[in-house]
Amino acid sequence: MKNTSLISLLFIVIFGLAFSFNSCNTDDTCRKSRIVLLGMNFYLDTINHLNNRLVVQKLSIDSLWVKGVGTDSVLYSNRKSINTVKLPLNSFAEESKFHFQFNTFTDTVTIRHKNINEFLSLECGYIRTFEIDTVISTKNFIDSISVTNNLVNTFYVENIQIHHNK
Amino acid sequence: MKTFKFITISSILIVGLLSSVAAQNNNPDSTSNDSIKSPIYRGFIVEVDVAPLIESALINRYAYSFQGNLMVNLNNRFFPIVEIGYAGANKANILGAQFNTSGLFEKVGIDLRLMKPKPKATIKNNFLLGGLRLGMSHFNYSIKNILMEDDYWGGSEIINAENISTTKLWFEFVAGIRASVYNDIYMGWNVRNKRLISRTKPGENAPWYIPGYGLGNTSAWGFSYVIGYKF
Repeated sequence: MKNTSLISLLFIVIFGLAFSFNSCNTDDTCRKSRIVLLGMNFYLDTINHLNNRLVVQKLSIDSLWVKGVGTDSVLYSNRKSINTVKLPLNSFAEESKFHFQFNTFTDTVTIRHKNINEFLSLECGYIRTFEIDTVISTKNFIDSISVTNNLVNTFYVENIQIHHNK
Repeated sequence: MKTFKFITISSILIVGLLSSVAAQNNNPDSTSNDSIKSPIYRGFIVEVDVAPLIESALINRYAYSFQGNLMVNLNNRFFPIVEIGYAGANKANILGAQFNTSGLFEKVGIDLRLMKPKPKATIKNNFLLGGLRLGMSHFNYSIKNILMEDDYWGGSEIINAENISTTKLWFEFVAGIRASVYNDIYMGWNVRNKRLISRTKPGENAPWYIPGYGLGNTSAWGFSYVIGYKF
């Protein structure tokens, strides 16, 4: 009698577990990152006069303003002591322009990119990732630009280095 | 081509297993020499899986599945099995994105009896089984009405990907029971852990539901409750 009850209980538990295994993962919650941002770091290039070698070090900007050209929304507003920015690229154009104000100097950075549709899941939908083609800028504060990683996706990395010479 | 490969691999597995059974029976050193030889082939059971019907009526109303099995009994120890079915899903999420698919699926494999039945058991022909399946489905699916928006720069777009054709392969670890409940009427259940072999690459349009496999892009759990008749 005891054995029969135990077997029945075991049967019910297995039955219930199996159905719950079967019915999981059906909610509409997106659990993946949908944020795609370009990573840009600032560097100060100086020449070591003792050995005439170039020394590159991170540059902290005293006051930084960043805004997308053609938009009203400011991304960074008078941010103090900042050496990195994360920028959203335009999903519906192949060029994104940003207006930078480094202390009292202003520059415009133009990033040309290919847009790639990436399907995450039915719950999360699509995101648009980017492949950087070329980067150009005005040369008021910025002296040179280099692309260190041309793929912009949900994994935040340094994509662009902005160099300023002392 | 993929179907051909699938059938060939399955056939080799089944033939290999049958030969091992035959070899075991033909062994001259076998202790059963003195007793009457019982036949290797002990009939076949035709089964219907009723678990998906209950599941789609009560739990997952977006999906449906119909499955029939043909299981051969060899020496009450080896049970080669073919499972064939038709399944599909129509799912819309709260944002209005839609997924739909339907297609045939086939699974080939074998169950092995894990324990010898007790001689005094009240239910005759009861088997505790463990086995493997190789599953395949070739199907079309559509992902529609997915809204993409750019919150900073502005703009939006509706993306539709329709009639994407694909073939998915997976294998399943199966454990469960079969028992004769009345004469030749059999019932049983099994729990399955499914592992997808042909996965969709990240970023590509992955099917939300795979006929015969279910949800998920790596592994999934499944449950079958079968009612069958032995011939």
